[in-house]
Formats: sequence, C-alpha cells, structure tokens
Amino acid sequence: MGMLEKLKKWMPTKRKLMQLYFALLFNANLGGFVTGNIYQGSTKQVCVPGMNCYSCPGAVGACPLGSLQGSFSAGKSTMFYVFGILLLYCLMFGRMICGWLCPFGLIQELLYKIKTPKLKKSPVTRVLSYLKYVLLVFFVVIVPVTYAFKDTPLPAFCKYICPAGTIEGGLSLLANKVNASYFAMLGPLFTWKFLVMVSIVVGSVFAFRLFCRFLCPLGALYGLFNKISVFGVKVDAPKCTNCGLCVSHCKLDVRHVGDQECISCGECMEVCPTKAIQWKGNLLLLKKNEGSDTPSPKAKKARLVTRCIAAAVMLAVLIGAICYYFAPIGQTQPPVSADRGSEVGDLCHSYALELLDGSGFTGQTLDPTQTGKLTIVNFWGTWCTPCVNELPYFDRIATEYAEDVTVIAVHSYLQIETAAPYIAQYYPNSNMYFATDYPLDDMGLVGGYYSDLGGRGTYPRTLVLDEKGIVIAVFVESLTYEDLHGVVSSHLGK
Amino acid sequence: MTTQKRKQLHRIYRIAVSIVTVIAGICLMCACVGIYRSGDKPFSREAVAQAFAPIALPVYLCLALVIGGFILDAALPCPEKEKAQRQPHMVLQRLRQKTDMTLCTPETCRAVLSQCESRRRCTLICTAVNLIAAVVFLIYALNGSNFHRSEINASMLRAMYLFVPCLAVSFASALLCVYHNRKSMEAEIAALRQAKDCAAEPVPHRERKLHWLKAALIAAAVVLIAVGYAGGGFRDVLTKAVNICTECIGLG
Repeated sequence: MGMLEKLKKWMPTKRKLMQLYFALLFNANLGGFVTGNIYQGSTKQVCVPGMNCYSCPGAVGACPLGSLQGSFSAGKSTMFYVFGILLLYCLMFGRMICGWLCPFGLIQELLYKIKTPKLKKSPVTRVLSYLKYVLLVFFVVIVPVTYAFKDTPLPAFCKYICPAGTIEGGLSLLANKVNASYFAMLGPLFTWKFLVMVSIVVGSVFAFRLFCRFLCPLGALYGLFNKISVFGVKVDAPKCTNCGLCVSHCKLDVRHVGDQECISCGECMEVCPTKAIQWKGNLLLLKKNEGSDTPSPKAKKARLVTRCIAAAVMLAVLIGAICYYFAPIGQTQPPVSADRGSEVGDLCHSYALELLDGSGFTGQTLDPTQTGKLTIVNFWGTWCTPCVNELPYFDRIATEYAEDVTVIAVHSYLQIETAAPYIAQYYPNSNMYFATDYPLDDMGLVGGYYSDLGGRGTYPRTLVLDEKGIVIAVFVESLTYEDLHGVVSSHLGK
Repeated sequence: MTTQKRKQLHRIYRIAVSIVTVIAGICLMCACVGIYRSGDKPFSREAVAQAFAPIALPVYLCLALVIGGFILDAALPCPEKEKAQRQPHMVLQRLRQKTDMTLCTPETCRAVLSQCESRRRCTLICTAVNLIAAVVFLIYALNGSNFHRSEINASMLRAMYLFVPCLAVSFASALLCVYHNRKSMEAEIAALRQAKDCAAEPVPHRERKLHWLKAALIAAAVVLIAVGYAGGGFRDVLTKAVNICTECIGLG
C-alpha cells in the first residue's frame, strides 16, 4: 500500500466532513460552552433538521422533536408551524438527514469506530428496528397529546429517553462551574436518563447507530417519507441485477436501498457492480450521477471548480455563523449579579409587575418588595410541566397564609393569550397574584424581572422575600408543598 | 509480524477494549445510582465529583485503549476483512426474476407455492398478534383518565407495566415470524436453484413517479409554515428553545 493510499484511508469521508460541518453549524454558539449559558437569540425559532437538543449551550436552533411535543399543548399556530417545518424536512431529505446532518448520528458513528467485536444485523435487529415507531407513537404523540388535553405540556420522549438531551444539554451545562446550582435539581429522573444515556453510548460502540436504528422517533418519522423525498438514493431498476451486494454491505437493517431504514449514506454506491444506485434530486444539485461513461477532463475540471466554490461558500457560512454568535448581536445573556438582589441576604430588586387575571391584564402593578408581608415570587410558564405541577402548592400556601404571605406567580411568556385562559380555568378565585414578565421581542431576549433576579433560563424559579424585601431563599428546582410550608412556617414561627 | 500474529493481536485488543468499555459503562452507571441512593440531597458539584473519582481509572483506561487502538491500526493494520453475507430476500428476488415458473416442474412449483403460503400464513398470524397487542395497549393509552396531571411519573410507570408486556409479546411474535420466514425463504431458494432450465425473459420495469404528490405535499408544508408563522407559532417554539428545558435534559 502506497503512502498516499494509507493517508487516504485515514482521511475523513465527504459524508463525515458534512456531518461535522452541520454539527458545528447547529452548535455555532461556541461561547455558550465557556459561559455555561444557552443561546437565547431569534434563530431558535427555527427547528434544525437533526437531533440537537435546544438546551445545549452551543445550540442555535430548536430541536424538531422537542418542538413537536411542545406544539401539542401550545395551540394551532404552533402545530401548523412545527408540522410544516417537519413535513418540509421529510419531503426534501427523508432519512438523508440522519446520514448527513444529524449531530447525534455523528457521535454514534465515531463511537462505532472503536475497534471491538460488532453486533451484525440479523433478524433480531430487523425486528428491533420497529421499536422506534412504537416510541414515536407512544412517547411523541399519545402521551404529549393526552397531557396537552389536561393543559400540562409533557415532552415524554425528551423527559424519559432522549440521550441527546442528556449529553448535549444536561452534561454540557452541568460540566460548567457557573451552573453549580443545577446539581440541586438532580434526582431520580436524571439518574434514569443517565443510565439510558450510558447504555446507548456503550451500545453504540458495539452496534452501528444503535439509537438511530432502534430508538430514534425522528428517524422513524423521516423514514416514512424516504421513498418520496426529493433528495436521497434510488435504484435505477433497469440497471439493477438484484445481486444484493448493496443490502449485504449496508450496516443498517435495510431490505432495499432507499427504504424506510436507509439513511442515504451512499456507501452502497461503491459496491454496486452495475452503478444502479444513484442520487435522487441530482438535477437540483447540478450534479450528474456517475454512470458507466467516464467524464471528460473538461467536465472533471468543471466539477472540481464547482466543488471548490461550494466548499468555500460553506466554510464562509460556518465562520460567519460562529462569529455572529460570538458577537453580542442577537444575543443577550441575562446579567447575573448579586448586587441586583438575586442572592440570599440581598435586598431584592424592585420591579413593577403587571398583574393578570383570567380575563387579561388588570391594569394594576405590584412590586414584590413593597408588599410588607412575606412574599413568594414564583416564575412559571404554561409551557413548563414542573411549573404547572407545583402551582397548586403555591395556591394552597396563598390560601392558608392569606394574612401573612403574598404569593406572586409570574408567568414568563411573550404574550398573555395562553396564561389568561389557564388562570381562568384553574385559578379563577385564587389568593395568588398572577403577573407577567419576559418582554421577549423579535430580536431577542430574556430580560425583565426573571433575569434581574438571576434567572439563567431554567424554570421554575422561586424566591422568598421577607417583609423588608430581603431575599431569604432561592429555589432553582421543583418544590413540594412541604418545602414551601417549611420555609414559610419557619419564618413566621407558626 | 506474520499475518496470523497480527490477526491474533487485533483480536486480543478488541476483546480487551470491549471488556474495559463495558466495565467503564457499568462503573459510570453504578456511580450515578450510588449518588442517588446516598440521598445526600441537595446534591452538589463537589459531592458528585467525589463520587465519580473512584471510577476515573476504568474510564481513563478505556480512553487510553481507544487511542492505543488507533495507533495499533495505523502501525499494524488488521489484515482481516469481513465478508458480507447476502440477505436471503435479495437472493430470492434475484432467483424469481430469473425464473419463469410456467417452465418449472410441478414439484418445484408446488414447493415454491407451499413456502409462499407458509410465509403468508405466518405473517398473518404475526400481524394479528401485533394488532391485538396494539389494541390492548391503545385502549389503555387513549383513555385520558389513566394519565393524571398531578402524578405524571407514576402514571407513566403504570403505563409501562402494560406497555412492556404488550411490546414483548409483539416482538416475540415478530421474531418468530422473521425466523420462520427466513427458513422458508432458504427452502424456496433451494427449490428455485434446482430449476435451472426455467430462465425467464427480462420484464420491463415500470417506474411509478410521484412528482405531483411530492409537489402537493411540499406546497402543503409551505402553507402550514406560513399559516403557523403568521399566527405567531414561532413564538412558542422560541419560548421553549430559549429556556433550558429542565425535563429534556433530565433535571426534572
């Protein structure tokens, strides 16, 4: 073997480079890994095509699966918007996204590079490949829709299974010293998700794309559209001799090239003796499929020039994106500083919160530091399951300690359309005050009282202030009635 | 180094790295469960780091072995080349394409037909079992009263008690069906291979083009996006994405 061939063997393939490129592009907010904050700019209103957790510090787009689950409880417009984006991705690329664009697919393929005995495809793996459809139906559709009818958003797949969320979001955030307070939130759920994640990571060393093949609901969804997608691979039937080399060469559980399991990696093209496997949508890419006829030197040169231009443009886009997200444009991280009253013992920052009730804004304001009573400020959202679940405990405290405690539930949202009907339905006669915060504009971002009080993007967040407005407790986790009762009774001495 | 010795070296390396990887994985899991079971809530960064410290050795060893593997592969490439096996359904497809059944002997025809019938029956039974399992579970899952607002985790756990057995039954039947069909296909392949004098004329292929369907669906997707965007749907996506989804990352 010549030196050049040896080097060629170690060079990443075109597909690997594309995977790496898109992994970087979807996580272009590299500064987030250093600061420990997630990106909060307007590009996050668009879903990226691959599995990329939006709670990853680097993520600059929304996760399609998380958005889909969230859309069920968010209203018609959101459902239309997310369904439209997903349908467009499905129709344009199908499972080609898994093979070329998905960052989690890249992680698994790199893990598979570790030299160990490998689990080959078999009837067992073929049967297991249907598991992802079951997960799609149950965890992504049935459970979120059922809970949406109960006004409780529940991204069941993200919550109980998604390893991408645990690695990209959970571990990336926990690894940063700035987020030391998040350790307080860890419990049985994180333990479970950590076990799932480690199992998948270890499994991916032995089985090719373990998660994609058996568990990924997004891949299952894309796979359904593989046959009619614009881009992908296809078999030129008259040329095909049904030799079966393509299927036997493929590491996935495909029965035919381009079926629902095919990720259009194009590796089968190299083994096809009759060159019957071709790219779909090649005309859109202005690239002719390779046939038996060898291209002329002129055509070769033209292709090289096109490739160089495409590579230069892509590189420029990536560098531009990284620079853009490094710059302060479109990105405002909440200032976290003790001097503004976010730490225990500080005088809480004063703020006029606009009050809400079941019909909308009441036109009144309330300053949590001026109530003259023990005040609990809880930041919540109708889109946040833990927030919705703990709200009844605050209501109970507000009723039981009506004389001594003021409870302000600050809804964090852009508009009051979802909060007002929710309050009208569940807390029409509550002793709690409902207020709104989070003046998020189109450019960007988290601001308001939440960020003033040290909020870093996690919900729920609760602060307890004494009669003078001094912070006596801060909680960055879900609370139980006992937790709240303990704080209140110990302060009031009741 | 001889080819045989090289092969042996790579085999030993692979087994070693497998064992260490699995041990490292188990250690990570045990450490995590250990922290949770210790009950020292609220957990702190320091406590977690302390609990993970003892498992640093297997994890580092695993990393060292992985890096060592790449060096080994570069210095002494493994001569072993795995030969891919052809899938029976592809072999069968090829044989069927090549064989004209009208020219075959009655025995061959009978053998082929009986295998086809056997596969059809098995697939039907498997489909029926799967449908029953799906219906049983869907009756439970689509009943909203089984999922409580106040106790989500408990509701999900209860659902799993039914979900897992249904899934197991469904997968067992599918697995049996796949194995049976594979055996049946192999028998059919053997029968067709004996029918050597029944070469068929190539049948012209008719490709179904779905351009209209594609165009209509793409247009529908664009309309959905436009309607959703105009209605402010993007704001919900943005709200969810700019806040850390504590559930998505397992924080609770």
